[in-house]
Amino acid sequence: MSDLLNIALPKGRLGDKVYNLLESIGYDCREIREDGRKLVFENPDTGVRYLLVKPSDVAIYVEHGAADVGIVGKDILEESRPDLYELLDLGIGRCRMAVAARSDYREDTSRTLRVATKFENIAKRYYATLNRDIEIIRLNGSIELAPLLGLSDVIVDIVESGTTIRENHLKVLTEFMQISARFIANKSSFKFKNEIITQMTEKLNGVIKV
Amino acid sequence: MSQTYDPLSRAERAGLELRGLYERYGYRKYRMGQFEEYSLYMDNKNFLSSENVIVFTDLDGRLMALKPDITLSIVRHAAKEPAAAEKLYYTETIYRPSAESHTFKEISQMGMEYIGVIDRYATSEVLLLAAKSLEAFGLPWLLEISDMRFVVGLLDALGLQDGLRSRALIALGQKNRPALTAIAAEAGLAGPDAEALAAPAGLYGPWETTLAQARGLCRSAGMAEALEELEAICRSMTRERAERIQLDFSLAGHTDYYNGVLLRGYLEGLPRAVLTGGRYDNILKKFGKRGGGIGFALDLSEIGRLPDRQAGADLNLLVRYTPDADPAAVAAAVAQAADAGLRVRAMPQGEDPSGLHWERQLWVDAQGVREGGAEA
Repeated sequence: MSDLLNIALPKGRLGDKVYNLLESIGYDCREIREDGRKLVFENPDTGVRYLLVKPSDVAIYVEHGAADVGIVGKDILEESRPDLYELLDLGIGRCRMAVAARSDYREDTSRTLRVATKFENIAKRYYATLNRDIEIIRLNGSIELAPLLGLSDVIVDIVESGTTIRENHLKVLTEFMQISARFIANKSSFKFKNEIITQMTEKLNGVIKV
Repeated sequence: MSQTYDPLSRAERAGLELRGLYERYGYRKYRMGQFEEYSLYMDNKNFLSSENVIVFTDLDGRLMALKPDITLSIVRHAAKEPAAAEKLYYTETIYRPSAESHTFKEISQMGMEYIGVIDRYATSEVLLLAAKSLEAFGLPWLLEISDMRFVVGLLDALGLQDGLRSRALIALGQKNRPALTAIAAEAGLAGPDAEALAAPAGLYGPWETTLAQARGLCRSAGMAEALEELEAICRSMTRERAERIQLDFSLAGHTDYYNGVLLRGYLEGLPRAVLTGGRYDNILKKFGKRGGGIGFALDLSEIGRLPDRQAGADLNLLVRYTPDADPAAVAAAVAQAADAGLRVRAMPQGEDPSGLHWERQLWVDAQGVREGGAEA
């Protein structure tokens, strides 16, 4: 196991907010912003190595010990429920998990509800709490299209500002989960690299605005 | 210079060492040669790490399962009212879903169980054997311990019931303070009570300091007793071992089964706990047996992921021979190396050795044996 602390960070939308947060506690991220192709950045001065991965893969890297700690959305954690420590709610990347449908939609409770989503497990668990019979249509993107084309009755997806929903003539029926970025740690790393992980947790805790 | 080849992997070598260790401490080998009925696992699914079990119908029509766990079988077969404690150890193959591949996997597991009257000496002995088991792998290790009575006592004192209680235990296992704070709010807890619910998530570290912090949270005799026992068993360890023991009050098992000390062991370089165990009197009660039980299991398959100490060349010696070579000369060259403890392989000239890594090569032809040089 390397002496550097391996930190898995999400590429994409959440990325910039995460780099700002890390810089605010003295972890330099300039190189990441400058080089758009590299996936591994080492910063021996602060004793860390950043691994840039797909947001949905951050928890996998951490659970399997390829990264010691990581920053990941609560949606990913709820979907896969990995075995790791969830040390902080960083309060960034806030959004909600919602059910949405065509603006003229009226539910027919005599039929099985067709639900299109990327978040299969979250959707199943949500409808199980309502005791509603559903059929999941697993999609990987452009979920909003599904109800418009009659592929599904509703969608379960992340809503941030609601613009995409409105622009696609959909409406939010209900919001059932608050989402934000979390600071996570591998259980074994937390023990063997406890000092540096605890320091990082305390520094992050000092700057987050939850 | 070639070293004598040892065919045992790290896990196999440690497995042999541990058999000797458990036998020396008076544990008898338990062999689980048959299958259990599926209902045993379904009735106790919360005790298992996953409720997914491989099921099959036996020739007599009974629904059976490939064992996902050994402890339940040992408890089921234990005497109802034993005259003395049963001390058993086992090495078995179990079948569980893999966290990596999301398919079933065969796992080699080794473990020990102490069933009977569990006093502080018995608990200390199990803790000592857990520490020695981790030491056997020759890597930096850590053993974390907790006690269910502490966390359960706290939840009782705070009046957390049913759904909120199980959610609190899950959040605690994740060291998830924000979730615990939210659960406290839902339960109507405020001020010091709300803080107390989230506090065990942060109670982690060397036993002496962590124990001192935990005392500040004590709200019942059960919680105090748990801390007293933890202190007694930590004190029973040598200073060197005690430094590798951490108290972690976020560690919590299922309350239907575990009722006392909990153990988790880690080896540096492996992402998951390789040793899991604890005190499980509640299982014995469920099976109508007297006394208590404590034990642990080691996942030897997980340990098998570690790079082995003697990685490197596949062969110490490669003996190549031409079609006209004397078979007796080839056999003599191979036997001499193998008898000297080296890994050796004979290979006819027509075969391609490029997929092998070897340290030294000999050629045998009609004229005799000559050095063939090192691998290119």
